[in-house]
Amino acid sequence: MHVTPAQSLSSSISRNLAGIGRALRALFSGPQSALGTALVAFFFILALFGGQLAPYPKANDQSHDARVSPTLDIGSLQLGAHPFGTDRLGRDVYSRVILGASSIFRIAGLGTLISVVLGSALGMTMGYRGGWLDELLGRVIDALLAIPALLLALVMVGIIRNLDFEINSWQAALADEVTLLVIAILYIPVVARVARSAALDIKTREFVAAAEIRGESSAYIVFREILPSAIPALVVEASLRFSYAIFLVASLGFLGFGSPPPSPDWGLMVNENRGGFYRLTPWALEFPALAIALLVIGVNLMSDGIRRAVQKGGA
Amino acid sequence: MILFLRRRFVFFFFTYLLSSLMIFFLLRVLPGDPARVIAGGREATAEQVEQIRSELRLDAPLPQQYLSWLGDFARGDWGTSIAFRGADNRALISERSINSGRLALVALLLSVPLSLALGVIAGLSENKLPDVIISLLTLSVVSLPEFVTGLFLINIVALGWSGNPLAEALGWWFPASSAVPANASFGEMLPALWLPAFAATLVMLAYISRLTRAGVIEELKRDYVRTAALKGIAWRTVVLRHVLRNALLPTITVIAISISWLVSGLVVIEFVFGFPGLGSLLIAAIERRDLPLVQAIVMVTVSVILLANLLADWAYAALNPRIKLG
Repeated sequence: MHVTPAQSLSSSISRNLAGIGRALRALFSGPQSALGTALVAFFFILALFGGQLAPYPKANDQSHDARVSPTLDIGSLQLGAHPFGTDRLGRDVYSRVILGASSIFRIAGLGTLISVVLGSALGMTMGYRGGWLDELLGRVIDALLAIPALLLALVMVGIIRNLDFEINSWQAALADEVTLLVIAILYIPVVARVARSAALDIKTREFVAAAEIRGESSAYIVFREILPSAIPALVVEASLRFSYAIFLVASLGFLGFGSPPPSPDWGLMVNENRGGFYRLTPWALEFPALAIALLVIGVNLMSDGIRRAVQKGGA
Repeated sequence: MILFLRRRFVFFFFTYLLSSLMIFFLLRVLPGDPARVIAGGREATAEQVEQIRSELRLDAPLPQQYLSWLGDFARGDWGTSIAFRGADNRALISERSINSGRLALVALLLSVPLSLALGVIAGLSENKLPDVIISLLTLSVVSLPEFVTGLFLINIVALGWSGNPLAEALGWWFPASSAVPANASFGEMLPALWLPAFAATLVMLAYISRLTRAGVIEELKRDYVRTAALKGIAWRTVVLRHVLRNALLPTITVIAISISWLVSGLVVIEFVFGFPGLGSLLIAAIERRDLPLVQAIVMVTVSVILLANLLADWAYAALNPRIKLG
């Protein structure tokens, strides 16, 4: 029977939807991954609706008394005027923590997305086509991976930030998104390596040989025959990359290589309030650090759950 | 084994050359003028830019610049620092590398036995209570960013401990790592090393212990384990004599790979603790736009990582009789 592309697409979509449903159920079946997913979902809601949820939606709102202790009362669940206190400049820490969720999700999420899309296209093509180009790119990827990601990120962000671009030029717009770009660039080779080894395995299967005999183009074979089978491996890699990206964004922010002040970046807030300032306003460090800790734990538990769910489903 | 090692050595050399190319061109090909970046960006005057351009031979063609830079690096002529006026880059880097090396050594001595033990316990009790507790720990607390655990150790453990009467009575507390002079001896430095080394231990713990656990679980499923158990050999002996020997072999590679993790971890940890190591030097060099110093530090770091990998390959080949066939 001849299957039209539309039919095969709709059947693959429904197959994938059923797979996603199964994966979601598997994700919430274990207590660890359910906790992780719930934490990530919580912060994701903060990232989406932070502007509406924060009592003082301006990130640099210095109109409050400085160094007010947290008014949060856990016993009676009363928030008070400044639940997490105010920092030494009179900014509401609670609002800033809520507002900070969006930047870390945007940078880590978009960076991961770009790297997964480009990295898997590159890696699958390398794995399927083989030959000298694959050999050369594979070596380049190995060499790139020998340099720790944080080191490369620091160097790239540090250099790009110091270049002088004309204000309002496209280069200046790119330089504002330097962290996002650096994450995308750093993780493309990592994803490509995973996608390549998945493609190497899949291309020996019969349906790929069948498509080759039908005379399909390599682009068709890579995206329509190999990609669907590589999705489990890519989903696991994407969730792993996302958890590392969150970690990297927080670390870069802390080292002063993330968003510039006065942005409510959690890592930056931790850095701004350490040392001698910790004695003055410990809460201004502790709450953003807690937010980072909870998000990192949540993302780790979730990506571990995704890995288990996919391995169980794929076997 | 000779063949295997020769292949690995060729790979090492190739990777090394490629990464040196990457380090060089990453800082050159980026849009903008490196001389202007070093001179201070927008505020620099034309004469300052010109002076730096001629000092660093930035007007030569790029391939020639690369070759002369690589030649200078190989000969040990790493130039003088721009950020640390007049200081010799090589002296600066070797002093800081020794400090980072000490920190890494203490961290490895703490983390390797601890994570192997945790990994073996978790692997032997797969999906039972000890395994669940260990995997929850390694996934959550231990995988926190280094600066969160580092700040916790400084503010809660070190400052909390220093005030109490027990610390006074013992005469023992955690001195601030930032107060250590960069040229202190190992003995003088050691008290200030414990806390940063512990923070670094946490970075590696999750990684090594999870891979050890996977190795133990895989070996336990092998036929020879069942055969040995059915022969009536005590379970303890089966585990100690057979399973661990095979399961711990890949761990050598894992430890070498985690050196790379340790390196990035140390950058953050040294910054948090104000420890005078290579990582904090790198951050200072980037902030002060000292490109030659940045390049030299990254080259040194990559050398260390690649050498660790080569050593691991050699150790693996020496310990694994099966490699000799290949």
